[in-house]
Amino acid sequence: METPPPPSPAPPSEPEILERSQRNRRIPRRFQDFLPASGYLAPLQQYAAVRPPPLPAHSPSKESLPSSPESSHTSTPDPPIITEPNEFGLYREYKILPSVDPDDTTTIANLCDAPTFSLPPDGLQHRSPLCVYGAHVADDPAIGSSDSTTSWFAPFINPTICRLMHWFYSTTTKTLNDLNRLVNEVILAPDFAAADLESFDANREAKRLNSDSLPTFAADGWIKDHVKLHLPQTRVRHASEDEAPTLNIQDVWHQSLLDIVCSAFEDASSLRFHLKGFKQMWERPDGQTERVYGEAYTSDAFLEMEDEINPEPGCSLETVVAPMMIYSDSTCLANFGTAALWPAYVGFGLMSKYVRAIPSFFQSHHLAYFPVVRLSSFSYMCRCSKIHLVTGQHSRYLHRNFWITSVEGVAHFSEARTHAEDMDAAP
Amino acid sequence: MQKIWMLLLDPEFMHAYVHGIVIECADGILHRVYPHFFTYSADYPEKYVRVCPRRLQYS
Repeated sequence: METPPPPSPAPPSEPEILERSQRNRRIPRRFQDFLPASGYLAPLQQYAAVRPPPLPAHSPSKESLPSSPESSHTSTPDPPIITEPNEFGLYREYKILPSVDPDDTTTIANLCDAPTFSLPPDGLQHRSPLCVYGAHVADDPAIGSSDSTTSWFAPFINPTICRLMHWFYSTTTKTLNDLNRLVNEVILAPDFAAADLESFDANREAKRLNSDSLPTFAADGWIKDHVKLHLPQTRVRHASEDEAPTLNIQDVWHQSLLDIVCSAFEDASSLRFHLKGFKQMWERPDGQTERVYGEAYTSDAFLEMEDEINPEPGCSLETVVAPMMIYSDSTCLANFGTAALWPAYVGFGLMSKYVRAIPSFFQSHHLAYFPVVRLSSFSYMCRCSKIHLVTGQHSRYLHRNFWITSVEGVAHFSEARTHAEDMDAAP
Repeated sequence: MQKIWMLLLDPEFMHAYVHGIVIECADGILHRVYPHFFTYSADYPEKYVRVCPRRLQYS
């Protein structure tokens, strides 16, 4: 295995300046930082070398007789593809090699995020915060999409105001750099027109953002939906759930799950996805091996998911299982007051948690905003029925797999089967 | 909340759940992606709202 690259000597031009000796200065080795799975500032391709498969001791004739009918019938799993261990003795066990390994191009600069670092910037760190809402919103108006057919500047009435408001909200404190951006991105923009700013009122423009019919949301698959809840009624027996009194809840904003998956994979950040799960193993100095856990794509649960999928007949594309990690919590929006939202987020476990957790990477996709039923709308229902609220006595059901099972039950049995058959039957 | 999840798990998604969906990734390579649920993390009050034990009890 390669040793970590030696610290690069100082450039020869520098020591001429104010140098007492002609020695090359170098950073002490203890100050050099490197990733546990990476070299210093160099794409390492550490797992590119695949160890030749060990000769299986128990069935040595398996590989030499690939065409024998016995070997095709015995469903012994294929031997895992084992990579060479890196400098720490970590290696991977793949079932199927992925086409791309994102760690090949990951350097320490990709995982550092501080304004004082002089490391080369990472492209992912300059992302619009709006990209979590979808690909269309993420088209930064400051970069300028010259597509005049769609009103990209909605909900503002013209591009100039949109650029101005975007500049205003992009940072919280204004610096000289922001002033440069104001000139370059707003005033010097080709569609800037001073006439657009006649009767400009910042308060009114800020209110436009609060209007709930945001066209940009609709373009990105944000759906304003409503749900009907059937509520129980005391001392009244209904023949079916459909006859129970309903409570209609408006304004459920959510995004299509499939759109999120598509936009996540079409985004440049998908280059960091580990497309195949593997087992991370550690070859200890004493010769024993040990399993190393730490990422979603190295977990047994994910490997089981990969085994569960049925390959589509006639499809030679690389199959990727996208493990969606969903998180929802009611969130206070301000330090004071009761303004709150109840969002649900989706993260993708294919990405390393060290990358996913960087806030400026914006890897939590917004999925839905759950409405909170106010007591005022409940009071109507309470007049005609006494609602049994779900109480804590049901906490014994709270097993982690319970919800997963229920979702997969829905997926496999109730709706998916029928709809999938319908869609398959359709040409 | 379960009703909203019924909205989210629309037929299109369910088809992709079983059969996968072909997506052209950022590097221009087509992949067949199978979206699956890996975790759902939430705090305690949300968990029992989410699993909705009463409804499943009767079903």
